[in-house]
Amino acid sequence: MARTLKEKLGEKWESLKELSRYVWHHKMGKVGVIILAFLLIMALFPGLFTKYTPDWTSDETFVPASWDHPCGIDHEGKDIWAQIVYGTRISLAVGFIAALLTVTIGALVGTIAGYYGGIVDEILVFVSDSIMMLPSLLLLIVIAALFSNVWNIWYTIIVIALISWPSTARMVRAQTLQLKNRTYVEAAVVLGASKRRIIFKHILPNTVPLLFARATIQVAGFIVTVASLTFLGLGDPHNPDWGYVMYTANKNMMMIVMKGMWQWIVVPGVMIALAVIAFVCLGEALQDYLNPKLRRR
Amino acid sequence: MARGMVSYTLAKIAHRLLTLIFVILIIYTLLRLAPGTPFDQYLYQGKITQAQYENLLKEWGYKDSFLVGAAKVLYGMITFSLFKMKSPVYNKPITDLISVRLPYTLSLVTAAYFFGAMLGMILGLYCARNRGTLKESAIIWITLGIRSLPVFWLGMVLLYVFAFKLGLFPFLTSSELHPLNIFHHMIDWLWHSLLPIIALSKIYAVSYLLTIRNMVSEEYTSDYVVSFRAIGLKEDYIVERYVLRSIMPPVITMMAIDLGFLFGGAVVTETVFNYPGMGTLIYTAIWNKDYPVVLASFYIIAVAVILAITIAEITYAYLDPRIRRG
Repeated sequence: MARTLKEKLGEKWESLKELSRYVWHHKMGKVGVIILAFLLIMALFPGLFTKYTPDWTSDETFVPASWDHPCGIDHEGKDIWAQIVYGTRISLAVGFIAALLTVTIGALVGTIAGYYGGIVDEILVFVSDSIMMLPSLLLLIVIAALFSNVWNIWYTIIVIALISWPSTARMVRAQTLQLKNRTYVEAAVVLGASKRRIIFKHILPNTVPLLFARATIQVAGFIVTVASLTFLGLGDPHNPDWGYVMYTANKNMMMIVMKGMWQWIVVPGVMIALAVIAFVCLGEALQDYLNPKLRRR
Repeated sequence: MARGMVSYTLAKIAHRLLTLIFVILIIYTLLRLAPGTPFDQYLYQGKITQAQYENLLKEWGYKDSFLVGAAKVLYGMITFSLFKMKSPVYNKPITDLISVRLPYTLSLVTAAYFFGAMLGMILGLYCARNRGTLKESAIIWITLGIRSLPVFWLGMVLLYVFAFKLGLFPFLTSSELHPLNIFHHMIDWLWHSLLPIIALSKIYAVSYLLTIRNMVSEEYTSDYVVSFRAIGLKEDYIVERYVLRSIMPPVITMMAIDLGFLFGGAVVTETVFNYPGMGTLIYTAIWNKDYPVVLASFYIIAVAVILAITIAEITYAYLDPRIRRG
């Protein structure tokens, strides 16, 4: 029953079409797709939204908002709206990569723990339980501050993933335990399939779709996490995300009050909120799609 | 005591103690890997000579090998002498530093927690009971909107509007705060802490609203509720007697776990509001490379979290006998 590559691709394409149709007709999914499309355009073509760049500097500082500078000019003479527009790319990319890495680690650890069982399982569960015992944001702040002299955006991503994988691993492990005893897996074992083949061919493909839905929601959380870190002055100054604008706003609160530059505070927050709404809505839609019980309703 | 509870409880406690040790060792390893000591700046400024610097390092245990240091930390954990150690930056026992800050964080966190959880539960229940109505979807969309606002940003906006623009609240929180044990200072405390409480409680209000709504509406579709309705039991009676009761165990667990995670949110909130709690203590301690303080603070937090979770698990097992059998 060998299928040709063309048939396989055709099947994938059909299911992708079905998925996008479902998401588009899902109330929350539609909101998510529209906002995300807007943010992606902003991330890919920042020039469409502002004629200034984050490097542009004016001689004046603390200039209130005007038509030319929708959010005003900050303490260093930089255009705030330009910083926000160019920050979109960083915030989205960091959230996205961190979520991808988290899910990958979580899926691997969860599958290995669930499939191999025994002492491997016990050790992995113990480690993931222990990491879950620490407030993750606090841990991230501590690590970022401790290594602040070498810190950059990649460290942020890696540390976020290293702290956040346990919850995914726990979920995948539970699913693996269920799948392990299914007849088709047992049949594969009898036929002499290697453990690696069973994991990658029979178990992971069944957990991956749900992981994607989860990762989508996690992107939202990570964007906020990274912004919190930057807000505390622990970000990467060479790759300023949305949190950086809020960091400078918080530093210059007195001047903001005196000049009435409320846009400096409000706009970056609104951008973060939009991104979070987009990813959460999309994630919910995906989860509903993958849960046939809900889909029928 | 229900059957199997004792062995279950003992096994859980043993497991959690191991977790605690492991967690503290992780923090210790991180602190050891991090570059710098608190005395570096004195050396650069020329306040101490190289020989004095070496002496200080030896005196404060920075020259210990990794294992000796780890053994000292473990010994300090077990005998609680970790807190009697002195901070090399302030040259004061850690107990003195923490005992001033801990009440502020605890009061902030508990107030925010209960305010948020109560509000969330009441609204969540309301939403579940009015599923599909216009009011319900309005509440849900507003909640989703609020959920997406970062806590520190909310804090900044609250400060901007209520403290700076309207002048209703102080913006240099609690630099003039007094000890909490005197009753009439409670009003003062509330005045200083209301904004951080509101900002922090937002997380809980939102997550409890959504979870309770989902749990209760799932429970509503189950067969027993339908049959109770069919035999004519009052809606309020079903909710109070059966629905709330069956969602209790997971809610208790969730509440206990969240209590621990409040500390993470508290650090950021405390920084925004300049609030003199554990968060700002840890934060400045890291910048000063004041590692004994960081370690002791994490010890307290880890104990609090693990205690909360263990109590939750044991309560859960007590309420739901299926868990005990593993």
